[in-house]
This record gives sequence, C-alpha cells and structure tokens, in this order.
Amino acid sequence: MATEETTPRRYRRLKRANDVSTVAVASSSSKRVRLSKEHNTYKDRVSSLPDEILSKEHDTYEDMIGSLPDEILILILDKLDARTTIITTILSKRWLNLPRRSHTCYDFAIDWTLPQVEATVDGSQGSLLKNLLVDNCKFRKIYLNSLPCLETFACRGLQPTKMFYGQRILPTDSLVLQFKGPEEWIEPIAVPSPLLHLKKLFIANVPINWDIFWIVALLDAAPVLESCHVHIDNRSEKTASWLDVQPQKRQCHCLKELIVVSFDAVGWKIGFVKHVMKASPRMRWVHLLDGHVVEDDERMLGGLEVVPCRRDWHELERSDVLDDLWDGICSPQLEIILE
Amino acid sequence: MAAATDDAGDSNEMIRVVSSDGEHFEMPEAAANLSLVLRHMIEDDCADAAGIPLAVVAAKPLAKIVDYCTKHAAKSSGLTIEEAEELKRFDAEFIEVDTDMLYDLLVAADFMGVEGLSKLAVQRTADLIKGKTPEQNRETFGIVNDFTPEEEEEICKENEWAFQITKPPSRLC
Repeated sequence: MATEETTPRRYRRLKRANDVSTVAVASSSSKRVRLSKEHNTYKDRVSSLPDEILSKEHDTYEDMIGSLPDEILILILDKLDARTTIITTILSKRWLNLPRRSHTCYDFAIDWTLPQVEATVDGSQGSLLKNLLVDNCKFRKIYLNSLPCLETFACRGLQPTKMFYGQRILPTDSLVLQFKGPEEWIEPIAVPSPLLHLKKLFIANVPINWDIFWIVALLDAAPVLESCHVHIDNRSEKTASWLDVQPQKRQCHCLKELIVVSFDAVGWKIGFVKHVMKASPRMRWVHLLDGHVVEDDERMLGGLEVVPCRRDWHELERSDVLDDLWDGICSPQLEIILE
Repeated sequence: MAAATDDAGDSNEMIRVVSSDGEHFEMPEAAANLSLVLRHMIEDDCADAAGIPLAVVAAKPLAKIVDYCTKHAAKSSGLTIEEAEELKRFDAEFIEVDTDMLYDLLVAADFMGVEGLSKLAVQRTADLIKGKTPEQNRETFGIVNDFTPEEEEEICKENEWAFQITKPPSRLC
C-alpha cells in the first residue's frame, strides 16, 4: 500500500455542516456509453441487426436476452452495482466477458459485504478504472491507490470520511467539493499536501454558518489555481462565525477568475472577495451573483451547474458594495460584475 | 395523409408507421420526432400516406412505443413539478411488462432511437436482475447455463467476494 498517512494539522474547531461529498474531477470528461449515438441510415441499421432479431419467433424458453446486441447488454450492466455485475458473469458464456468490455463506471455497492471502517481501492497495475462513486459511505477512511486512469471520484456519506490518495493517481487539475445532505460534523483541516496541479476549484453548498476563510486554506495550497467557484448555501439559519486563525499571506499568482454564487452585501462575504482579490495579482474577472447550484444528472459525478437568479439591489446599496469591493484595489485589467 | 413538409413548427401533422406484421399506426409528428430514425425519415420526406415501414418492429411493441412517444411529446417542454411526477408515474406503469415485451421494447427502442424509452427499458431490465441468484435470473430470462461445473467453480473463485452470500448486517460500526 502506497499511502502516507499524515496527521493533518487541525487549524480550527469543528463546525456544523452537512454531508460532505468530495469529487475530484480531472479535465477530460468521462466517456460513457450512450444510446444510439449516431444513427446511420435506416437501411444500414436494419442490415446490421443480427439475424435472430430479424427472423424473430421467440418463445418463453428461448434465450431472448442473450440475443440482444452486446451494446444493449452492456448498458444494462452499467445500471448494476459491481457485485451484481460480477454475478452475471456466471449466467452463461454469453455474459462471461461483457463486464470486462465496457466499464468506465463502477458502482461499488459493497459497504455491507465488507464491514470495515477502512477501505482500500487498489487498482493494482493497469487499472482502467475511470469513475468511482462511494455512495452511502460508512468508511472512516478511504485509500485510493494505483488508479492511474481515475478521472472522477465521488464520496457521499453520513459520517466524515478521510481520503488518502496514494501513488499512481492522475494529478488532479479540477476539484469539486459539495457539502449537502443531513446535518453533520465537518472538520475543515489544513490541506496536508499541496494541490500542485489544481487549476479549477468548485466548492458548492458551503453552509452559511461556516467560516468561508477555510476556503482560503485550499487556495493557499493550490499555487496554479486559475478558476475558483464558491457557492454559499443561504438556507442554513446559523450565522457565520469568524475564523480564529490567520490565513497565510500567500499569493494566488495564477488565479484569473472568482465566481461567488449567493453573494449579498454581508460583511464577511465582501471581506472574503476582497481578500482573494488582493492575493491575486492576475485576477481579471470577479463575478458575484445570486443563485443556486444544481446537479447535472447526465454527468452523474461532479457535474454541477450554477443557476443564476436576479437580485433586486437597491441602487445605493449596490454602489456601496461596489465601493467597498474596489476600495484599496488598483488593478486596471480587473472587472467586477455584481448582479 | 400528406407527407410532412419542411415547414418549421408544423407539428400537427400525423405520421403513419407500419409494423413488421403490417399493422398501421398513427402519431403526431412531435411524437414521431422522439425517434431519431423517424425524425430523419420525416426530414428526408420519406413519411407518406403509405406510412413508414418498420421492418423489425412488430405491432405489439410498436403500439407501446407509439403510446410512449405520444405521451412524452405532449409533455416535453416546460413541465411543472406535477406534470413531471405524472410522467414518471406513467413511465413506471408503462414499463411494468413481461420479459417478452421488455425484450421487444429494448430492441425496438434502440433500433428506432427513442432514447428515453431505451433508458427506461434498460433500467427495468437491470432492476429485474438485481437481488436475484444466478439461477433465478436464468429462469426469468430463459438463459441456458452452458458452463461445466468446473468452469463455474473457477468463475466463482476468481471473484469470491461477490459470490459469497452474505446478509447485510443490521448496523455497521
């Protein structure tokens, strides 16, 4: 096992928040099998069908499902969890090799077959695993080892889970963190190892009672970050508390855009935006808007989309906020959009 | 029945289709458009009074597909939450079919390029497979076990964890 367990430095007290789901998405989008991607001409399609379908006279005892084209059977397997998929290999020779053919996506519904508090996903040599979803996670710790093709990892659970990334994992250049679900204790910790390749960061459903400055810790750890989206969930009734540690005065040399969803004229939100703007000499685009985040089911993992909504600013309030934001900032190429 | 014209937005046209066993069906153009194959035929002006022949789709599944497309086309854009719920209920009832029909729908929906129906039928098939022993699945789908006992044993050994029959413990940790 190639995992180094570092004891993360606790830098602030526990906060109440919601279920954490951590999704690391690499740049290339997953290739999933699609239904009827390209339709040839009608004639081509008829002639490409297997004979048994064209001359179909099936009765109940015939292996109908086995005569389906591979592509359809693979689509069916894609809807099964890993365990059930493996069990189908014993049905008949027709089914034996199908799972090896397709899977870009595995659903490991194994939490009750392996009742442990730790899980190790070790791809060993040559693993082609691209997407990994741990749903209803009851593991306290998950180790990911030797997954050189891993593009997407998602973890949804009811208790905090510590993630350890071992060797041979594709350097992540895009990270999506979404905090949602039932109430839960979350421990924001200092990032133990720098996110050296991270270019895009999307943090969604940050509870309003969280101190937004813990995000600064993530920014500090990502020296080449170019784009940062933050969505604050205003539905939480708790008020914001202040950070009791000072963020490091590191600069975000590559950060070009900051998008804050659910922005309003609250002092700490303005303070956060100003902090990031000051630390980012190359910042060009700051977009502050109202709205929420929806999950894009089609993309299954890590697909989040911002749905903007118009805020009715009082003109004076709006210009006050803008004055506040610009105060002390002199950057000719910077544009601030406040919606 | 006139052929579909290229007039944009002209969706009141009825499109005729003919099953492999010679039965005629009609559906609104908007419904036919949910099938990629039919849409391309309509765009190529191949929809005429005689109807589009569907050589591999028999009358029974075709009737279901016409139903499905008509329902979904009528409620395609700007759904309210209630309408979306209703459509979900329709889908759930629609796909409560025996394995013969399910098989026909899988083939026909894939052939005709009705994506929503393909997904629905694929999901239904997966749901039928889930939670069953291999023997039960063979029975449901009429699959003949063509492995020798030795081969079977080897497959089990390869992925022992999956074949161990364990009950989920009531509580973890």
